[in-house]
Amino acid sequence: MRKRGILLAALALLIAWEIAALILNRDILPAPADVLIAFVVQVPRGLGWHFVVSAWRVIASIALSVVLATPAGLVLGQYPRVNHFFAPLIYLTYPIPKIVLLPIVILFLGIGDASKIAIIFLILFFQVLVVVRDASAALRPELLYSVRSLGAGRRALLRFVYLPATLPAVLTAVRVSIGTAIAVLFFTESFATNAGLGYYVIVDTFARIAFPEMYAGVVAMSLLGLALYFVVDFLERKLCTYLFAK
Amino acid sequence: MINLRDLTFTYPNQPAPLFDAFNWRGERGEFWSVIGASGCGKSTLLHLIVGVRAPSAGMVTVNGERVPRRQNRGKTGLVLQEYGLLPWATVRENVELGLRIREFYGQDDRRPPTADRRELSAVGGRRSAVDFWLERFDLIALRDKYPAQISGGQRQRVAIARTLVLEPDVLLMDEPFSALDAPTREDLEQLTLDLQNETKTTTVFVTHNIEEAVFLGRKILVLGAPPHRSPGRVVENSGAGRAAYRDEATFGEKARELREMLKG
Repeated sequence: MRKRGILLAALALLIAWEIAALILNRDILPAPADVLIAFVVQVPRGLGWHFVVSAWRVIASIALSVVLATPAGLVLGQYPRVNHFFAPLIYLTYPIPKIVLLPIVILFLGIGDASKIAIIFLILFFQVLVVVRDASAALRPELLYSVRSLGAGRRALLRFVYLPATLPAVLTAVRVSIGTAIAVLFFTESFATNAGLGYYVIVDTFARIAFPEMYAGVVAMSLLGLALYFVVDFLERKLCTYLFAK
Repeated sequence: MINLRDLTFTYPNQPAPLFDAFNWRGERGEFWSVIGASGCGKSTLLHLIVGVRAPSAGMVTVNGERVPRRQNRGKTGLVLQEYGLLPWATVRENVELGLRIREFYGQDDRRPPTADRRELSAVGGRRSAVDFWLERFDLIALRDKYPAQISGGQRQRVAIARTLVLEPDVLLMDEPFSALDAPTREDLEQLTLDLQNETKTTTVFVTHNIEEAVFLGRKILVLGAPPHRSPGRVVENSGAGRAAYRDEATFGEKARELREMLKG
């Protein structure tokens, strides 16, 4: 049912695109079939490589932010005093659009992968930090108290209570941030680099007026987002089975 | 078995103590009910016995040993009204929880002795203990369900099974059945009695329900308005412990007696 719905939606989008291309009848909107051909031809000729580079950058950023923000969020959630101390700082820095820090990050980290990963990391880190903090602070004291009465110390509580309790929140934070992460990635890849889908779309194909190829790049970028979205969905179903019971 | 000596406890930011040099003693294998109005300190009493709270003066000993400060002694089982089940774990995983905690981290994060660990890690041993309690509580068919998928009474069975699988020598129950409907409640009261008769585990059952206190506790500790001082008011209730007690005349008399005491 769910899969069929997604397939039907994809089909509807393709049909709308086809119709729009037919009506417009200009080279700035090639038909889906032409883009598909360009896509298949371009994958071995660089598009595949650019996809891998972009995927690596965004996955590394996600992994880094989850690995660092989860423990930090747990600490803030469990120790009200620490949270009290850091709350104003988070309050101030959370709404800053991190993308404007890009020039500064580039000054410090250069124009390679590091600065791209760092800027996406900054965005995701705060998203994950805040949800983990709130999820761990919202744990009912009765639950902690009763698990402690079974003999759980701090490490056991972390493994059996805090981590599983915050996992859905982490996955949700990652899911809602994927769109932003890829948008930012696209922007950072559109200048001063020679690899990645942003480079492929803006610098390589757009500049060459190679429209079907450019569209193939746009499709690749969309597929990257979609694939990550599916992975998060899959992880949630695998790791949080209780959310889907009955 | 459980011994409170000159126990004094005051909540921070409260002027008067809740317990003021209070003495009470429960012997091995006894079934005690503790009754009193909300906020009279019943739950705090259990917290002090289990060691989650520390007395400001005086001493709590269980089985002759002083209860370690803010640490679990590992042989005191606790059942709460809120069940305290992990929502992300199945019935079976919840019942196994205490054993797994001990297996991986040891009591309070201290690794258990090797022999102990080998014994616990013998998956067969763990399985049979867990299966025994799942079966005893009619939970076998529900073992792969999550807490959200089962009823309140079933959840409380899981919570009790999870505690008993650790073979506690003291079982503390804090209003465990107050959120349940009457038939389920009576069902679980009977189960509690049967278990106590089988295992002879020293049990302290806190409730604000007079009938429940009379039906279960062969001795009843009555807590009025704090501060609680010695001697505590104790009602002997030797008729309790049998299913038929509820229909007997003495049951009604005891309930009336308690009601009068709680009023005065």
